[in-house]
Amino acid sequence: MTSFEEMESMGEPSTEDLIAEQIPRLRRYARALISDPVKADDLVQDTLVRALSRSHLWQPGTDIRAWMFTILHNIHVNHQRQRYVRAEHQELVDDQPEMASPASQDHHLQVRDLGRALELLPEAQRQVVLLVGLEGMNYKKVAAVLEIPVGTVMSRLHRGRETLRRLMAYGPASGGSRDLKKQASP
Amino acid sequence: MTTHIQSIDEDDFQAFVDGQLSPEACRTVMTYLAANPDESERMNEYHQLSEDLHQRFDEVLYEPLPKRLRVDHYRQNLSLAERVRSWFDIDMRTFVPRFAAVAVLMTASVGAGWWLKAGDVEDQRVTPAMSFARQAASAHMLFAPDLRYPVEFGADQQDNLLLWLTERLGEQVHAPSLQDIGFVLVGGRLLPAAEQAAAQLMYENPDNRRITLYIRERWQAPLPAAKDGSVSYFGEGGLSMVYWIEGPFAYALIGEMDREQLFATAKTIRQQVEAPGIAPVIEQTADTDKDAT
Repeated sequence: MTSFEEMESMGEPSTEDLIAEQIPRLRRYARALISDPVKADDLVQDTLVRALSRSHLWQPGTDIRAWMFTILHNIHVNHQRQRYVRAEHQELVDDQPEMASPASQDHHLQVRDLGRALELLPEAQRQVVLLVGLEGMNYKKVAAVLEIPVGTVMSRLHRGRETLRRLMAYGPASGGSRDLKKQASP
Repeated sequence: MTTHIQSIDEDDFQAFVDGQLSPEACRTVMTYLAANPDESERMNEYHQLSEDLHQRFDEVLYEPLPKRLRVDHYRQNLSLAERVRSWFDIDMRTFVPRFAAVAVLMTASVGAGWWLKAGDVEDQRVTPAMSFARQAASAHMLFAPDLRYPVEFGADQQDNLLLWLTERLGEQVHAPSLQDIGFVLVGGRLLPAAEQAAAQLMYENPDNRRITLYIRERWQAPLPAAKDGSVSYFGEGGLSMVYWIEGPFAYALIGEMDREQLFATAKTIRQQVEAPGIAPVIEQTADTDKDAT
């Protein structure tokens, strides 16, 4: 008989292994996206389960991280849709950090805590800022994951960063007239 | 990219911060920033922002994962079909790497030039071993979960069953006894396998766990000098398969067993098909049985 250990060690990592490798990153992203850590883990769990059940759809050689972030994003969108519908039915506005007020109202606010500042960002901007700033994804990948044009990625990135910069009151309040003009444009 | 300062737009600034700018464009932006301290400061702050994101959230990467976020937690819960599909029923690119390992192993263990001759290892065509393993797996997937008609002939008609299978497969088919490891014969059936006939024997233990033994005419023999009986193994998510060539047949044994137990079972089977009628000697039956659950 031949040794099967030998064969196993020769095998490539399985798709499941590759999926498992991505979990900590997905978790970091989810934690930054959703301030409630339990809900963030819920999102990662749903992503994991779906990725495992569809692992045969992933094409080896392609970017598994982008594939899993896309799954996560889709699930998140669905969750929010459901929550939104539920909230409408109950005519309840429960604490949804994702529904935070637009940043324009918080111009004067200065928040030292980055987590809090992120909550104040519109979610569409938060996603882009996190995928680029935290995940280090290139713009095309971000566009693919969020299913938006690259141009939209760029404008959300700019607006998101600009708002965070102000909220966090980095350094001496710079922001010349040029910045303001930039921000006014959509 | 031109080197005109006017050509710099906000996208370039963002890309500059993220290191996603071409070297020429990067130089252009740097030239511009050198002359514009406010903008330079703004870039620094964007950069600082990304640093702060890492500072704040990177610790999540090192938190121990709760059970529900670990892949192994779900391995048991994947359906049999999903697991088998993850082995075989995928486009070739997916399972060639796994089978490439088998190719290497078989080349080494069987000393078989035939494998390399049969096509380069990277060749994506289906080798005889691959199609055999796949047939065996799909037969298992199809019938093992079947509660009503798992077999065509029940064990009560074992003699007729074996007579029939022997007739169709062209060589004496035996139904090895697996009583010693707690599995009894449920029965068997005849199956089509490409242009040939194949047999499936099914066994069950008191917990209603089933294993199947798939038997088919062996494929192109390895080099004459090579010894038969080299066993290849696959295992994933609790489901395992071993297959080997012995005498006139190729055998595959499949079940939800750990691999030690499956190997031990395969060994028992081999000893019996080699020398049918002689009670098998099994060294580790008790141990493997204990490991089963």
